[in-house]
Amino acid sequence: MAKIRENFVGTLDIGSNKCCVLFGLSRSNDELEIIGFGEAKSDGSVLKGDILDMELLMNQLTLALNDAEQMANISINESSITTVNISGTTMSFIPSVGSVTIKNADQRITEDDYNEALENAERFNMPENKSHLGTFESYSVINNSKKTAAPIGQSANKLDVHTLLQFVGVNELKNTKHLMADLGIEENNVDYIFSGICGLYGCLSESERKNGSIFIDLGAGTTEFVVVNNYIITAAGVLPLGMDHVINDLSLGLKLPMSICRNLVESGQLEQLLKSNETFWEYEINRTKYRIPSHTIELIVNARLQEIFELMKIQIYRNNAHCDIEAGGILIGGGALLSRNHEIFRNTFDCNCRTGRAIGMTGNIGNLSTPQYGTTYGLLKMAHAYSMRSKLPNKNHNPVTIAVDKFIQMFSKVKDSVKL
Amino acid sequence: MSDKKIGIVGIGKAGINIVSTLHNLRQAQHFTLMAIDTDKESLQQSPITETNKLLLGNDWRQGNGCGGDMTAGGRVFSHERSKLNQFLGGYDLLFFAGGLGRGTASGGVSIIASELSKMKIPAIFVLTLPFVMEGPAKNRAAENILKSEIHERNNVIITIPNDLLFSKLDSNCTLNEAFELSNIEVAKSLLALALCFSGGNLLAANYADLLEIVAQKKHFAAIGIGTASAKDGENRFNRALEKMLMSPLLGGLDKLQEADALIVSLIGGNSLGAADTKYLLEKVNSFVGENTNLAVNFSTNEDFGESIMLSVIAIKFDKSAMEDKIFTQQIPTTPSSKKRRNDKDNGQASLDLVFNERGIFEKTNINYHEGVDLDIPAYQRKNINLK
Repeated sequence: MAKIRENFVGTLDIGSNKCCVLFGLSRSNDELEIIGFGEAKSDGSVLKGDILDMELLMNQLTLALNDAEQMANISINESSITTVNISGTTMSFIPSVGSVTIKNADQRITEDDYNEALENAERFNMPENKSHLGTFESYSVINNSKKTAAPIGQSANKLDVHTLLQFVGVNELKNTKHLMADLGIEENNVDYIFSGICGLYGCLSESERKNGSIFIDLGAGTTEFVVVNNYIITAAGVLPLGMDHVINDLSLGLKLPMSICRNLVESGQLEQLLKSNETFWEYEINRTKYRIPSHTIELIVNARLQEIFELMKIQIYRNNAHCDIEAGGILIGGGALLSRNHEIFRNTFDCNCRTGRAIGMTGNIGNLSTPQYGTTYGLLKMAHAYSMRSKLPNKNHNPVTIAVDKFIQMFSKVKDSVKL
Repeated sequence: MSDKKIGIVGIGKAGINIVSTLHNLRQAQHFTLMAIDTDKESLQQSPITETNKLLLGNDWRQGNGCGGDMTAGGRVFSHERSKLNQFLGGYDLLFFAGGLGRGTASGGVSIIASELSKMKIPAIFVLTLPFVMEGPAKNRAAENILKSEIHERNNVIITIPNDLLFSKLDSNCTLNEAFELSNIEVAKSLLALALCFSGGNLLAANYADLLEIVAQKKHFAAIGIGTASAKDGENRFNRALEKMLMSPLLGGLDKLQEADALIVSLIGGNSLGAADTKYLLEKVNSFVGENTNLAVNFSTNEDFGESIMLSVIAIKFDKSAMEDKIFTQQIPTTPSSKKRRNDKDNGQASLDLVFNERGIFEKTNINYHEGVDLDIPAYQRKNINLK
């Protein structure tokens, strides 16, 4: 196997349905070339985004790592993996405001004032058993009246910085770190990034980030959503609901084994059934044919999917972020392949929705451009962006770094905070 | 033989062993022998035709059985109701054999009884109760099934305690031999019942008679089988009677004397005459009490030739269970409860009790949203009617 190159970047994506490993090479022209990919089913080791069986997950990740190494023809070391996603039912986002009185003689807001306001926002009564993972800086308000994204240098008596604090369960974060250690990965070298942000970074276009959009990752165990407007995150959240709940509902409602219902959803039969006018869904067990009315299946599926989008809507409205959605919605994850989700999105949010796919992917792509791998690609792209930012000369004036900075700067606090 | 389509089904390992014993008997060829199990190996080892075997729960038990867990067995059968309906549909009468106390038969019997009630297929269940030496847990599990709603269904349940065998077992008999003997005796009983209800052309007992005797009453049964062939000559009727009284699963003459109900069946070849049957019936009557409820079946079957088979099922009701039932029936009703009962006449729809299941999220943390468990299916929480 070849030696690892200096511009090598690697990532792990741990999900309820599958775990993925992705390797790439950062090119000087800001391109990211995919060189290795490995995937293994989570097989019940992760449910609703939470790790249930460490040993099983270790086995599956090892399989995925081996596959990726073989494809890339390299053998990784402890510092090869630099980004890992984090999500799960213990993740929460709490809006917080930090205030500061401007005391300088010229009454102009300085960087120190801004940082002090930010620190005040983070002095939050942390929920029990939760760890502060990072801070998304939203916007600032000057003198209780003027809303701005760039307050530094402006005249003011008072500055309020609005943020979104990200928390995750202490044990869940520890579990992920222990997993890294067991895999031989240097845990302090890893950035633990919210899945929603990764997917957003990998699949949203510049105009969508600027003009305002809802990004939704409708996965197997959880549904992550992020509302972004003018490169600012105005709302984010994790719902402990996903396509596994749809499959579970079908299994209980139709009194069928999970495997048959999972096959119905994952093989595309459900998509075909909902689109067609067929009255029955026919399936076969041991050469015996059975029929179930399509209408019953539709009732079960619709009930669950509508609930997911309604809960999302409630959280977005609570953050007053519903006004920020001009560019519509972007859906990734396994749920994006079901067109019914797009319909329900349109009915719920009254705007259009598209299927998200990886933007700017080159190299050994294979199936990676499909929406199920949006988060995985986004993770690698973030690893690439961090790597580029630290290496490029004259970073303050380099157009590439400015473009990277525009997006990265909102998680600069995230990056610092997670290196515990 | 009548044209009725009759099936004999073994449930679980014990039941399949019993029905497999029938496979080699010529008299059983008119019946469809079937097997239902969650254990692939148990089905593979049986000589029953492949198309008459049903493996349940293969997707999530991987054909490894229920591990003696009655709850797992019940869950498998619940999930596979449609498969069961397909497998058991189309029969005029079904006999089931199974051993209570472990997983598959214990978990599946009430589900099968329920489905057959819906399909209006009469069924007779012959279920063995475990040996006392198999431990209190198994015996308790078997008792619990008998206390459950299984007796409320319109099916005939005949339970045979395996311990009855000990009255006749040799002291040097090994455990394997004991189980083997139990299988043979229960198999013969099943065959006798099947032949009995497949159409007596001399004097017919029918399913309704048996149902009338055992319906909704907890009971214990003892079975005696006696066969005699042409070589016994004119003495064959006494020989059959003698063998019947000596049957291991009858437990002695006392059982006949103490029985609350008796089902007697005599099957012979075409030469079987009315005088013979009268003689035997009088003999059997001499052993039973005055208040014993009697159902008889006499029929001819050319497969028997000069042979005869005399079988007796002696049923003793569990008086303590019956007293509980009487007590509950005597609770006075209040005017309001009477009114509630009358609501049915006004055509109001009844609300079926629904058990909130979480399925694959059973063992995960509950995620509440405004007091609601989101893992419970959305259609259930929103009261969406799927029918």
